[in-house]
Amino acid sequence: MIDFLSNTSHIHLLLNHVPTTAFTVALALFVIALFTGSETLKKTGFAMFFVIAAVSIATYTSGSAAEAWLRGAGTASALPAHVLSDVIREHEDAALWATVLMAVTGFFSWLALWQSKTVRKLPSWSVPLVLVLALLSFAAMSRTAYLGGHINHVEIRPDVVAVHKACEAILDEATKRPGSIPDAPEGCPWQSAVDEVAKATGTPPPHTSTARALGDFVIGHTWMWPTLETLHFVGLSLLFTTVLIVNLRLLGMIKVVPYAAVYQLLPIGMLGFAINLVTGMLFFVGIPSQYNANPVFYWKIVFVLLAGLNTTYFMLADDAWRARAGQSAPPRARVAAASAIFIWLAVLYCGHMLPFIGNAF
Amino acid sequence: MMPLWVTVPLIVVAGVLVTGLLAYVIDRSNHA
Repeated sequence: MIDFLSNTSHIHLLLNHVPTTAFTVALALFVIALFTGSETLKKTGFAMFFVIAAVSIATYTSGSAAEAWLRGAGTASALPAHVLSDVIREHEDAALWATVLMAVTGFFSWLALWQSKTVRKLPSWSVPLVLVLALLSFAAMSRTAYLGGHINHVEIRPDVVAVHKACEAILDEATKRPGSIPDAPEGCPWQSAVDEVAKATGTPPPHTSTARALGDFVIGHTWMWPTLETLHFVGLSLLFTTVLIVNLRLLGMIKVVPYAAVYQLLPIGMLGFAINLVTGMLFFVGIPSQYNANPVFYWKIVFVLLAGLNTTYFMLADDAWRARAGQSAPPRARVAAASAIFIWLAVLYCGHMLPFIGNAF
Repeated sequence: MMPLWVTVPLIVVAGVLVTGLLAYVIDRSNHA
């Protein structure tokens, strides 16, 4: 089990089904909800979009780790013969855009869920916006998955397939009429097609990768890292303050304030998270190697996922709303509140300990 | 090229202002 979990390629291959397969299910449910007018199904769709957006963060970061795993450690590290670096770069670029779109979809889905508890009717732009964003995310993720498949499956790469088919045609002809083609191949292994494609293209010019260009921009400007760090701290302050106010109220502090009042603060926490997602992703594309072999970063991502699930509880369950002015919250809401504080503290701790327990910097 | 002590606060303040504006817009949309 430990071997399995420490193999980052395994983790990436597991997780990449969530933004693709699970997202297809979520999108289907959401479209059915729009046709049938089912509010419950619509909320389910919003919640699934939000959770899948959180998993997409882990999917993106595990992809970079999977590449590092495939290259191997040490100075002699290299990709296997059939894997081309450019194919990975193309997949990474597609993944970056898809993850950004997914995160925006997740944000507006969360906003719709949040508002559905406070207003009688959602603003008119809310559902169409989420639908358009979800369709765009679906297209971007499908393209990412298609390109990702090309990395290790040479048998679906169009250039390789074309060469392979041509070889098979010659082989077929030579079998039908022995001696008609003097230098006919004896067989058509896929590796030969890969080698031929590689030979025909020669040494291709380096793929202009958006993700790498962005990463180079982050580490190439001295003002970038301190700016991102400061903004990350601002985001953390907004997020953690909101987490404390809302959850300490549920645990019994400031009982004079009804839960409905502190609930209004949640978007500030979510905006804090948004700042940290943007700045965090920029740190990651800046120096991926600091994070993709860092066990503390893994734990940080695990706790971010748990935090996403915890947030969904508050968006869907009505328990906490029983905490009116002067009243206590029911036990289930208190457990959720205590776990929220613990989970976010764990995210903070892991983030802070990246260089001390892990290998960042 | 601006010095570091100017660039960093300038962008951070801009980021905080954008976040504040978004928080304001979300809050308004909730009371509409």
